[in-house]
Amino acid sequence: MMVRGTFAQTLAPGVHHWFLHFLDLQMREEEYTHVFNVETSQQAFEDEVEMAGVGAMPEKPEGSAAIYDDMIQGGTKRYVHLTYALGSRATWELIEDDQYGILKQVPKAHARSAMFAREMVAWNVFNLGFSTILTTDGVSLFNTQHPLLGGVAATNLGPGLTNVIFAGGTYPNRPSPDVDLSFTAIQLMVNQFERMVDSQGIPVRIKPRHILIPPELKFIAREILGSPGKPYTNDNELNALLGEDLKFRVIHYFVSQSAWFAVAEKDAHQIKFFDRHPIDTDYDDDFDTRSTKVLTFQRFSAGATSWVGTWASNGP
Amino acid sequence: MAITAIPIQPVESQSGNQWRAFRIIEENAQTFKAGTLVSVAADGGIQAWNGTTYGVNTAAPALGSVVGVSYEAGSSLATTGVGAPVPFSPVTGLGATLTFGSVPNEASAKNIPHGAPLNDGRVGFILPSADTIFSATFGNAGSPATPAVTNVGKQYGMTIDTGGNFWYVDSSKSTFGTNLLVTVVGLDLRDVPAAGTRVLIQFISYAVYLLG
Repeated sequence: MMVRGTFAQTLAPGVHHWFLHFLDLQMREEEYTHVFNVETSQQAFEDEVEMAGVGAMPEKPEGSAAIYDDMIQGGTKRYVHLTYALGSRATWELIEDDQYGILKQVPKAHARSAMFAREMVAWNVFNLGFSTILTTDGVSLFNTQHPLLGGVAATNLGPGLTNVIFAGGTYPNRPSPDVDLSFTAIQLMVNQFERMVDSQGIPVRIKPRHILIPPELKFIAREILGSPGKPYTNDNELNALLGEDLKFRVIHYFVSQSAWFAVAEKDAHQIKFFDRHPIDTDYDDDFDTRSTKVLTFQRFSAGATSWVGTWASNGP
Repeated sequence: MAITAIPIQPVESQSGNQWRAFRIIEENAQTFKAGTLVSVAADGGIQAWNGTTYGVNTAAPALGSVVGVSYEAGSSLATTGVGAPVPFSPVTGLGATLTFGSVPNEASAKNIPHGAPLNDGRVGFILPSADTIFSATFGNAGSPATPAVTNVGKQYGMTIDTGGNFWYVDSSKSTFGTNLLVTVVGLDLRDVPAAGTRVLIQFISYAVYLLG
């Protein structure tokens, strides 16, 4: 609880300037909305189910019956909305004696706190994507062996997958071993996108669009993606990555200094953020003490339904 | 006649505040019901109370003694706290324990029946605070007993009923230092006293494991 004893400087006029971190320091602009598919929800949770189509159409020999194939229902991803809340309490005397009106600005500090929670929870889908964040296939979001619903038949069918996959019936969205951000690493990533197939092994058109990096990789990303010639060579070769139209985006909520990520445009991936109850604030006074309480709260969930359209390397 | 108890229920707080509740990770393979006694396992998961561990006569609170009354049933998790969010993370796993069938070629994938109870790897319980008054069935050594005003103010233990589902105040347990757990603070006025009706109880602070 905030009392006059711990905020004594607010009690008398004369302070030239209050450097209020929650007002004078600009918060970073929203970052998760640039990548996550943001949706609303009216339920306690949201379920999303994956479904594979049918395999390749074979020739039907004359006089023979046609082959029949079934679609395949995949696993379920459940987004459980969690509640986030933070309260502050100040005595009636402190609020009344505050000569600068600072205590009345607590909700603005709460707003910043709430925004941070949204960003951090969202980006932890990526931070934890190598371990505990699961998609409908039951394995981690970034995995060297995502099982395909079509099984080995899918990777047998998919053209040219031999040099891309690490095990039959699976497709990677992570290199093995992990690689640092580099010219060749980006080429590897682009190739895994180019060879990407659906769960039945049919090639799909998914282009990596954004390379998501921590601040530490900003300069190398700019060199690799912005150099007109092939970076770090003495030759006058074209920078072949320029034609990929890749953009890098610095994410200030990544915890690793070396992990880097790639995602397709929003409509080609299934990274989601459900806003169940937007940031909201309520106030109340305690009858006996006259203390004022302010509570800020929100409900949301974040996660990944599918790994498709995403790629990541955990440094090394 | 064997006793069949009903869930322990918080009914009143002396301060007028809401009873204090926690929601932390659930131990694996728990099938306790809502309204039953729970404790903390060595790895921090909430589990059914074993009926024998008390906080009494120990220098520090005995891990495994009663930590509260569950307000949710155990979910029989495969792994302790599976899917539970770490600070500033979403629910990490699938978010439900009720699954059916299997998914072709994806061994770890799950079908979650739509509308099945959600799960985030945690389970809630009400702290056995002295501020909170609970209501529980009254019995004696496996049989229902009729509570009387002469029982009020007495301290007893609790025993799980013969069906192994719910706990009742057991007037046969009255040995200090051995099996005392609750103080009867009144008769539950919703009942006309008869065999197996309810009493109001407070948990004895030295017999339980209090969090906060």
